[in-house]
Amino acid sequence: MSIVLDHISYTYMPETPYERTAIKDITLEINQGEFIAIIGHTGSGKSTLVQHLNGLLKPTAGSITVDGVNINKKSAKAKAACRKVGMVFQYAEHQLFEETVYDDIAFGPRNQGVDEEFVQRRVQQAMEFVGLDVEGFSKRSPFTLSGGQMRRVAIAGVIALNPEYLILDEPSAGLDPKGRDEIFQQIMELFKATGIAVVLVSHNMEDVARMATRLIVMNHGEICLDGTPSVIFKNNRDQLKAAGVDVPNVTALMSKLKDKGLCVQDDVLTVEQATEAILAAVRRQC
Amino acid sequence: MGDFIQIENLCHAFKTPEGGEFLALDHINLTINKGEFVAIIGTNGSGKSTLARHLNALLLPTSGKCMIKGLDTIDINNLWQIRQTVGMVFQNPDNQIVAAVVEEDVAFGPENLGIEPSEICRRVETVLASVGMTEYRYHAPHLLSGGQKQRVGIAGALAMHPECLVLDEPTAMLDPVGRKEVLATVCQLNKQDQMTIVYITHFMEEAAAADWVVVVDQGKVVLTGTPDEVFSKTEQLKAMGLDVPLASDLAYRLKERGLDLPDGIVHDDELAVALCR
Ligand SMILES: Nc1ncnc2c1ncn2[C@@H]1O[C@H](COP(=O)(O)OP(=O)(O)O)[C@@H](O)[C@H]1O
Ligand SMILES: Nc1ncnc2c1ncn2[C@@H]1O[C@H](COP(=O)(O)OP(=O)(O)O)[C@@H](O)[C@H]1O
Ligand SMILES: [Mg+2]
Ligand SMILES: [Mg+2]
Repeated sequence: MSIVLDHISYTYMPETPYERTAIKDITLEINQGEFIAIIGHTGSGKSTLVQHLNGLLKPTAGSITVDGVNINKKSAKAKAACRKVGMVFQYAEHQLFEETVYDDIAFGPRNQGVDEEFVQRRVQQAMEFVGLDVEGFSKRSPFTLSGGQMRRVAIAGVIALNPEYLILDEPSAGLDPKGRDEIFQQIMELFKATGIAVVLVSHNMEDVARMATRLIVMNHGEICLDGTPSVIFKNNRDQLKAAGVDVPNVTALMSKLKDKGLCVQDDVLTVEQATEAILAAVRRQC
Repeated sequence: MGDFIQIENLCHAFKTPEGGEFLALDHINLTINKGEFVAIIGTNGSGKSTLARHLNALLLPTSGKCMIKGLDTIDINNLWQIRQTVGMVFQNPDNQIVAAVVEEDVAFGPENLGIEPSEICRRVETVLASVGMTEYRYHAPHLLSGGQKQRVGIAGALAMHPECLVLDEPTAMLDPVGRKEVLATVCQLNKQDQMTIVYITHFMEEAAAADWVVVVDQGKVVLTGTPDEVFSKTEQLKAMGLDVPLASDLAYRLKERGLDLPDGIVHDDELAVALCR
């Protein structure tokens, strides 16, 4: 089971003075059971790429299949295939439109034609998933929520669809540190328990390093690196720099310590690893 | 005249759909002096934006006082002067763009005030320079990067010649490069032009650049201090759902493991100095 992108390109506003080819000749297979992180500087084409995965954008060239079904052909099968792909947009607040939080999250399941009792269970589970109190928030208007609360509602709306492919375009923008950690923990649990595919677009290299099984680096609309996070962050620092992305902050901090003369291993990716590496280095010095 | 921003027992209650009230701000007391750079941190829904919106009278206290340069925000006669004094910059740069060319976007506010064209021209030039966007003055804002758009947003606020800028999560939508650009711009405005800054963020490294950090939790101010003081309270902040800068976090973990390190480590360099003694 997989999403296959076969030589896709996309051009915004073709044949106008504003014509812009945002992604070029991308071939990629996204398999169930993979947690793929996509990184790259702003404008490198990440959002354009992921909006192809559920048929929101149609490629200017090339084709996309979801579990073998070409999603760009108009057919009932194509529609059904797209429904397996749940997407949280970069500007999640634009995804909200119902009068209450409950109705907003219930919108997707209702559209799938399931009965109202089942809808209710899905909505409750989804609200718990994103840490929204069911009692307190169900009847609120999404438009009176704080930015971080709105984002949680948008994520819940997608979780309530039980997607087989979960696409998250910078989902943590505006979330507080604990909210971010909790939602990612939930996503990790969902990923491990169900073996769905997760595609995460992120600027947070710590999150990427911690969670992803596979890392894709975009530059100027093309994929320039594709591999495991640990290998890429260790071996491809020059290419990362050229692509305008950083190594995790903790990795950069360790490099600084090394420059200042502390003999630490600087290929760590998490705070936990850094703590151990520093302790080891300090002990060696004494 | 007293202090520049003076908030006394400020409460703000929103009406709930059930007809009740929700106390989003609960007896806030806060003084901000002219020229200070204050960071506000707090979890989602803690009341940061509600507080920020009181500073230029977009929201009014349900009880208590919010005084800007000695002017009470509740008095409608002060509205114009307060809006003039305090400029706002919001999270999503796309929602703030009003014109098709950068310089027109920046000129929009002053034009609305009826300021004369030659003066507007001078202002646009100065403020674009101070956010480092002069070379983009004839560009289309929607084709700029997020960091650049946000700097245009700041320029637009500056063109009104405010004495204080309130920035509500200005970097939440930006990539790391854009975040650095915006923070550097804000720091420079504060240091060079003595602009008073109120800066809301979830990035603790950004809060560490401020003179003071104010921690808001459930509508209350629960902690204030210099970054060194506030970020020494790792456990308290984490219990509240917040975080500390990376260097503080590492220092805390190393101390737990028995390493002898000084208090108040916030920046990478401070950790490096402490470890490489
Ligand atoms: N709706 C649009 N119209 C025109 N150009 C666009 C549009 N959306 C994106 N682009 C352009 O396409 C390129 C890729 O953008 P995007 O996919 O949003 O990148 P990323 O998500 O990596 O920041 C950028 O140059 C951007 O300016
Ligand atoms: N117009 C409104 N009506 C009802 N409740 C609101 C309104 N605006 C904000 N709130 C509530 O007030 C609290 C504080 O919101 P806000 O100041 O936006 O938080 P923050 O900016 O810290 O995330 C939140 O619980 C939010 O849901
Ligand atoms: Mg994007
Ligand atoms: Mg807010």
